[in-house]
Amino acid sequence: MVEEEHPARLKSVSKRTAATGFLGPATLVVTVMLAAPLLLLLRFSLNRFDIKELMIETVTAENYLRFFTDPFYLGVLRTTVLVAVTSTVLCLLFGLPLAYRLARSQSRWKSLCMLAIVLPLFVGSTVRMVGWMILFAHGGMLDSAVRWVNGVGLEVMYTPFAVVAGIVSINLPYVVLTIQSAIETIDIRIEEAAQSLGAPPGRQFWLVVWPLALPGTAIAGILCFILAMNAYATPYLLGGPRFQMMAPLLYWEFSTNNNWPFASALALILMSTTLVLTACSNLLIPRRYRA
Amino acid sequence: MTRLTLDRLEKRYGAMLAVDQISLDIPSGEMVVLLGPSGCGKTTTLRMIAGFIEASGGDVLLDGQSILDLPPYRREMGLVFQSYALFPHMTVARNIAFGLEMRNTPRAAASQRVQEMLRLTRLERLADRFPRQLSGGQQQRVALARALAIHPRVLLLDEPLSNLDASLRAEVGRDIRLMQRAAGLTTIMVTHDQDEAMAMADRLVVLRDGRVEQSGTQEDLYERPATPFVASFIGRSTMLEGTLADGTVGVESARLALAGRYAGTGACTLALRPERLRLNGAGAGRVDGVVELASYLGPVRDHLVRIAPERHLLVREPTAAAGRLHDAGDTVTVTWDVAAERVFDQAGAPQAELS
Amino acid sequence: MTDLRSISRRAMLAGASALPFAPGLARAEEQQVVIATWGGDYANLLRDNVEVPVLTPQGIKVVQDIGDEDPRVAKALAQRRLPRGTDDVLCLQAVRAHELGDAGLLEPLDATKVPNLAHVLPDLRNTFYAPHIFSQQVLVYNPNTVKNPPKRLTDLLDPKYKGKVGVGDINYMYVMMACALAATGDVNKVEAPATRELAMKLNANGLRLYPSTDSIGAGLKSGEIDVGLMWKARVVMWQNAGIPVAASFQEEGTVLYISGMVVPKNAPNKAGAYRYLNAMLERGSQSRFAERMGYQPTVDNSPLEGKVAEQLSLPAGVSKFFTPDYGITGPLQSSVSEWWKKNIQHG
Repeated sequence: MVEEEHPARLKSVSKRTAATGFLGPATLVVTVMLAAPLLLLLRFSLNRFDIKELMIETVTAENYLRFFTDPFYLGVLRTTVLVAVTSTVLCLLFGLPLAYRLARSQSRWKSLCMLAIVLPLFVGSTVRMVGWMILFAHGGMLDSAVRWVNGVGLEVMYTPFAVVAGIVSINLPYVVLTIQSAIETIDIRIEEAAQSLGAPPGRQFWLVVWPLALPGTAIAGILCFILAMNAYATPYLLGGPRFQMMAPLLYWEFSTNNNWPFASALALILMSTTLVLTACSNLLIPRRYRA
Repeated sequence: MTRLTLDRLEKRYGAMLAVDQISLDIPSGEMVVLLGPSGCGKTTTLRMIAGFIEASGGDVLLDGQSILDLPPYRREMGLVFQSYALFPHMTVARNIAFGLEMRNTPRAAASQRVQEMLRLTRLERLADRFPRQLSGGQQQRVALARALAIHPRVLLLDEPLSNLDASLRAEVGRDIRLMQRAAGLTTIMVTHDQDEAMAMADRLVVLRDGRVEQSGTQEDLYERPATPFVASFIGRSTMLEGTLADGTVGVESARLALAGRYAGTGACTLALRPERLRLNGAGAGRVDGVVELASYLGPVRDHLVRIAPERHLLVREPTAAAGRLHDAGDTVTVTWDVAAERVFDQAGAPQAELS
Repeated sequence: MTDLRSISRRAMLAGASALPFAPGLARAEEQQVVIATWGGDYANLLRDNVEVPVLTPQGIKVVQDIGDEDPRVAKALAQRRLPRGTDDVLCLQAVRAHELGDAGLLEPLDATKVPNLAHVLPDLRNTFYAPHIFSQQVLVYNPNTVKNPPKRLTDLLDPKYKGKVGVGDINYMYVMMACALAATGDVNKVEAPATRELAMKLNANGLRLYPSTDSIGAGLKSGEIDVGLMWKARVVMWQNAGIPVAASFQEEGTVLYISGMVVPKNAPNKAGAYRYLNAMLERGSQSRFAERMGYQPTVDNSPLEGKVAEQLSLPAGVSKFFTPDYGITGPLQSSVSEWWKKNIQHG
């Protein structure tokens, strides 16, 4: 018995070391690639900026103080959160019915519809923004059409509306695909059971589909929110210079002003805000529905 | 109580006829089982009655009133699915209360009804569990309780036992039958399993290719199958194709003497029930053969008897009956009386027995 | 110009033909110069007019390190402590060149190292960079809609231009310099109250900020704006592209945009870098930049000819050009940028 136990234990130990051996490099890579830059950012954010020296090594909270005591920067953060929340809500409002219809479709056009939703992802977001610019620009399609109808043009370019529309258009495919795959996992018989028990479509959706699709929808929402919080090209191209969001501001500080310490602080503030709000949103979901 | 009538109900998918003019009249409180192989149209029929599939023609009537214009949620059908289809995010009690909530039943009355259903299905102690915490049999009982809680006009059962272990099937099947009887519910059950169908039904409807092949009691179908298909689908039959002449059927080199007398002649199909054949018995029907395989199965003993180079008869005798287990190679005479045989003409219609 | 070109081509041919017969010499001469530059037209023109005709015959192999200016500056700053950097020559705007020079990162330049610096126009001379091309920041207008071209920056405050004035957001420093010139007469007073007041007034008149230079051209073309502030070089390019635009030199004077090349102190091949700079200042090397991009040559011995000479010719009476003192404006960049963000972008 004792003798038999020995090789078995040896085996399990060697198995474990083998597993560790395989996981080791991957863990190391992830740690180095993920944690190291973050730590570096944290370190930079505590340095002092100097126009000649670029960065003076020290430990100071002045970059954070500068952000949190200046209504301008707080305003930029507020705008960013507002745009992200608005576009997330819109994405879910548009995405949910679309995802539901798609998930429940038996049509032979279904795969074509899926393709149509995935297709925009093959085109870079900047290219799609150019499309919006052509649509929204002065003398663009929208402006000309409105001018033709009522004589006065419509200025959409460089407005918050343009930014939200752009972000929604970029994030919608992700949202639809995520929710759609969540709904696909819900047995359609459950919906039929609800109907046979007397639930009209509205109540059936609200009482049965919605709670079951909630975890997937929450993931879609979080995905959309994070993407929107970090949007760079869209606010830059469609919002124009007067529309301030965190990512373009951060890039400006980093590249144009070479103010790495402040840019690092901005990056960490943006990331923390996103994380905190994402965590908070999780609290909105009842415990038993959480994924 | 409700009478359910299907009047030439039809479903077409393009050129394909999934359900071909099915007519059925189910009196109040009767349990009818639609039986047939997959693709025979039984589930399509059920889903048309429930309202999930739009009928292409014909009508569905409850007490003479067409319900085809009603959406599923206003048809008041109790539905039980193969996959249970319980609401996974609701407790057992809330699952059962769901239909009552949809009817805005006052809280006290609803709660009383839920308790009643829990008691009937012996689920009282599981009221606050979630479906994922229940066994398959318990889940199906919840589904049944949920469907019955709303006092449905008709109960529709879609392969309700197929997902259950063999040991649970009989138990849940009995529960369903007892509760259906107690409530006096007009019921349609769909299944592909003939044992299940035989055990549960007041009346059986055998479907094939979207058409009713035969409808009747278990005895009707077993004793008097209307077609070779029913003869082989209900119970077991050995089917032999041959030529009928002078009270015998010639099958290749074998000549089988029939127990009954039939008017027709020419090509026919002879169906023989293995459990009604005997070896070296007294029946008027008989054919000689050689034992090829013999097996002792406890309650019965099986002999596979070769009557022609490529033709075999299965003989299944109760071990309690006289006789012994033969050895392979023994020459035997297979005998039967008139209840064991059924002769169909070339078109599949049964040959009338001359009295 | 034709002569110059044929000479350089002949030189190149001579160089190429000499190579097989004098392998030893070629090896001794063979060296590499890395130039960090913008991509696109600019890099192609450098290759076709400076590198291939002048440097290749000298046995210098040029590697272009193409990228944007901001990362280029960041890289130079990040590499400052390294004894050996990666780039020999950096292409930079004068203001960025000065920034790096002030931080002590650049090799001071003079005619002993780069002989052709002697030909550089007096206004453009500088110890940190060799000026390559330059352009004036002028008032631009759509001649189809603007009958009386603006003559001063303050003319843009006219209510008839409300919502019709456009500037580049990225050029905020130069816009502030133009304001300083108009408000105080001193191009360097970018933070003077009068300068800021003028900028705020322009902003209040519906100033449109464009994220890129090209988008200003699109704005002019679509009729979104009628007037603006832009480089003369761009006016030439846009005219060639069929955009209705004309330039008007401000009476108070115009600010010069200068683009040059610098040599980092830790350049691996300084001698090669000086030769590159000298080649870049060679007679005629710059004329194609004028034709293609509308920039003026920085040397006095390379006159323009033909259509481009006409397009870049200065109207009579225009002589007031101002090169900012980057020693003053350079350190102000951060605070001007922040002020711009808060009061103009966010105004």
